[in-house]
Amino acid sequence: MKKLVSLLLVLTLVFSLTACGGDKGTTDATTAAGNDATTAAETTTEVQVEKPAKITITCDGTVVKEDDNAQAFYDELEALLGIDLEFERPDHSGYKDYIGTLFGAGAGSLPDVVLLSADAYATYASLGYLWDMTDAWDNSEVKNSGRVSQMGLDLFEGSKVVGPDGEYRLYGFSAVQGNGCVTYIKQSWLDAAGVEKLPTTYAEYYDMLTKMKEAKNAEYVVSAAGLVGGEAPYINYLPEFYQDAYPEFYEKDGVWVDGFAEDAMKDALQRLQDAYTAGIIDPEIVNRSTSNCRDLFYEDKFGVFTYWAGKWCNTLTQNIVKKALYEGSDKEVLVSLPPIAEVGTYLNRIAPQWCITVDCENPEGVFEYYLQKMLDGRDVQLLWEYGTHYTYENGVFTLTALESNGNTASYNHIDGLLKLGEYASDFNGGKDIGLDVASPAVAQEAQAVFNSASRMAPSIKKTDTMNEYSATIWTVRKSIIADVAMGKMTVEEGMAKYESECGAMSEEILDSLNK
Amino acid sequence: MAVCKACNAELPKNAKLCPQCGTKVYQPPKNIRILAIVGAVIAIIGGLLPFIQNAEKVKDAYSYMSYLNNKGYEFAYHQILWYLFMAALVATCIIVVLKKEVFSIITTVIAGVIFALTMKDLSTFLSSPEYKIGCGTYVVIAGLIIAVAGCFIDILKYRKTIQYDTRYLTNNKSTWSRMVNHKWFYLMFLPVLVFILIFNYWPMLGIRYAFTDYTKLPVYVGIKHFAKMASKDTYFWMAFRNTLELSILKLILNTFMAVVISLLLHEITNIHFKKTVQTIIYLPHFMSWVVVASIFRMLLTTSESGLVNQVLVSLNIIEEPIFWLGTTETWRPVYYIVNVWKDTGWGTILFLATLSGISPELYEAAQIDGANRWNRMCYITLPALANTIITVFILNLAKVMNLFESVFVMMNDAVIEVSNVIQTYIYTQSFTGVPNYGYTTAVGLFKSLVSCILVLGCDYASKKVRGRGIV
Repeated sequence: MKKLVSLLLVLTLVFSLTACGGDKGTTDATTAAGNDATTAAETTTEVQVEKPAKITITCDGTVVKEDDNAQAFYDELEALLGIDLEFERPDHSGYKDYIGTLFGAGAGSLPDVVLLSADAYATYASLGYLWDMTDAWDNSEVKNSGRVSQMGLDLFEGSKVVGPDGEYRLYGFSAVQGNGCVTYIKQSWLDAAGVEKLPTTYAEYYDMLTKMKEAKNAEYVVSAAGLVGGEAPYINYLPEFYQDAYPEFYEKDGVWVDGFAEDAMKDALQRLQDAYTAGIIDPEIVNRSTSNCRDLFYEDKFGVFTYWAGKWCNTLTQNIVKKALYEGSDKEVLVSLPPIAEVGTYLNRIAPQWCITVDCENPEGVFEYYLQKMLDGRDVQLLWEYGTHYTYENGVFTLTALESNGNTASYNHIDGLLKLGEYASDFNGGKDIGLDVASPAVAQEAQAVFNSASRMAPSIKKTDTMNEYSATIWTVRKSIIADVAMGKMTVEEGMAKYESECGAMSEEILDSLNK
Repeated sequence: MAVCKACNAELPKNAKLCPQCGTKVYQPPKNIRILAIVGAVIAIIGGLLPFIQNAEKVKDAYSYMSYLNNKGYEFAYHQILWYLFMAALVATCIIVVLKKEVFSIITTVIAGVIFALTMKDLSTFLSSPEYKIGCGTYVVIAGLIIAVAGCFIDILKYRKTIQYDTRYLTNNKSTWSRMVNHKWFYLMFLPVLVFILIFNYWPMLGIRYAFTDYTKLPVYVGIKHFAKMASKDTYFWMAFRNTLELSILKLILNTFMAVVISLLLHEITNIHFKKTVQTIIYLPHFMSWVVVASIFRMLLTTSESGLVNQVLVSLNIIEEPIFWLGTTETWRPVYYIVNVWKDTGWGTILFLATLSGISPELYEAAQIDGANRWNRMCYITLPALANTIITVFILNLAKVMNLFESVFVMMNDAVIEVSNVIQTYIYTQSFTGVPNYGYTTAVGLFKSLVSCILVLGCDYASKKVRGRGIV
């Protein structure tokens, strides 16, 4: 008996180790062969770039989620591109950590294409993990098609980051603008406070908040996911309080400066402290997440909420009506506040970028036949915009699917309001067939407010010294912002603490940035 | 227990003379194989330290495995040699433990030869005046000398202490033949051994990254990270201090509360009521920390829905709601309470098991002698529980540096100074900007060393207090 048990245990070991080392590439040849027919038909393009047989892609939940039948989208995309696509979809909330671990393992195990946040994009470009696609973009069919607006071209230009050679180059591709946040004010709160004219200066804005607090007898009027954001552009959830302050290193008149140590930041800290002490800002703001804030907004706990422009305006309004958590919620309207004079413009962040890694064997082919196809102005762009969750018959566009969260799936990855390329004139008459259905007037108006007054967030540059100190410096900054805002220390004490704990590190970083 | 050969009296531990008849007690020579192991371990540590270093810059240092590669020479075999060198030293430790001293000399000498092979390349490097021989070289040499000496002394001792003819021993078979006899047991053990080697020991090789800058590819930087930890990074020491304070107080409170609740439960005679209470207090243990944190956030919120604040305000204990989780003065007490609420019930299991093993006759006898309930608890129950309390305490002490989830879900920017612990510090360093795995590995290594010291310290204390340890 014990012999049998021994053998079984050994066999278990062998099988489990074999399973650990399974080679997922064994089916590649077969799949690739299956696609040969489609590939052959398309190799006649003018650009002499070899079409890849297979592409491995890692992306987050901004592409249609697995639970919402992503497979149908993959199948359709494979059929349109004639390429075998292998998607890796880590959990959306843990995506940042996943990317850190993925690149931490070093080159050799990276996917061909990876979707990176602005910060990670700048970081891994500087470390040399990403393929330089500047030339590919300059010579691309999309760029030269005339369908990309000047703003789109500017955004591509603004997305250039410093590579390992110290030069600003393009290492990522995005089919949409990064978007930013707009301050939404509940009409019911405006009415209660008797405010008829939207504020245009900080004094008027603060006056409005005070009146609202009194009129609604509210515990607070403004809330956000923390006093400062976790990634660039950091200040977009409380723009009226930060105004021209930017608590990170940024380029000012050709010289890199530490925004946290500037006078503008001192003024911002003072405004935060005043508002917090006066009960304008949520007393538990440091404990809030974005979903927390949305829930409290639906419950009418506060009335002024700076959140993402465009579709989110519609989503917030719909949810307020649908959840009906307070009296009059069915008639609630969100007013998009144009940036007050001191803010000037809202910040348009660098969009998450589709990047080709250095492990990709045929980066030119991936750019040509996968990335730029996202803005082909035809079927592929339409698929990236609306997925497979719609019907279009007799000129009528209908969204057909519910997402796992119960909302109607209004777009896939490309938000129609944010797309950088228009459709080709010979494709449905150049019209975005689903825009008006997927993006109701509320969303379009909110987006228009943002687009009419927004600018690109400060560019990002990473150096070894910055990478070394950035975690510690941000820990200190966040702690100081919280302590000052909550009145545990004065602005001067906060700044003195920053100088004593981070002054030397900041100097070193600035030296490295200004080299 | 040893007995005196002259009078057959029991001898105390380590006694040199019999307390009854005064006869000198024979003590076998102490086994000093520890010397060889210490030597090998010193050499292993030396293998991680810089072999070459710049006299001026700490960062400009090169290890055994990389000092020539980094300078552009084609000596790629150094890395392979480093692995062989380390493997030989580990083999030395294992063989010494197995009392195969002759073989241990062979492996130690092999390690020495490998070391010498790379030493000959030093001259190409040291031609540059700014470089000098690093501390790693000296440490390895010292370690190898101690290891070889230890092995030789072991052999001498081994021969000297054998005072019997092995042929007359019943169990005189060689290790190999015994292994052959029990081959099926060894085969059964094999999967476990392989799994342990692969998943527990193989990852330990990652310790070497503590001596590298690892953002893209590991680049050897010597003790730079340890220097940074010790000098520049105030947040590291803050995290270290917080870890010890939070963990140890949490451990004391949890253990104390578990003992108290166990004693109370033990007194309950109604079995159904007892089982119900036990079930209720065990339940929180099975809830995830994320859920627990959400529950307590809701209970402690400053808004109208915050139960705790509302009750305290209505009782006029406080005037204004308190932001319990956002104030440095209140965060820790709340943290301890949440921990006690979540884990105390689970902690009672071992104590209840011990209590149920106490003979009722002891209590009956004490009652007859006039002992009241308090006396019975002081003189019977608590002494019976003492061993378990110490065991639980020591076992949990090994985990004090592993504080993460409970803190991570409850901390925020306003309480970083009292809540940031080593694990959250590592997390922040790993996932803010570019993770430098070298630095975080160094912090992790430091954490492990402290854990080790704590456990060994407690074990030592236990030996002193109770006469035996548990490790």
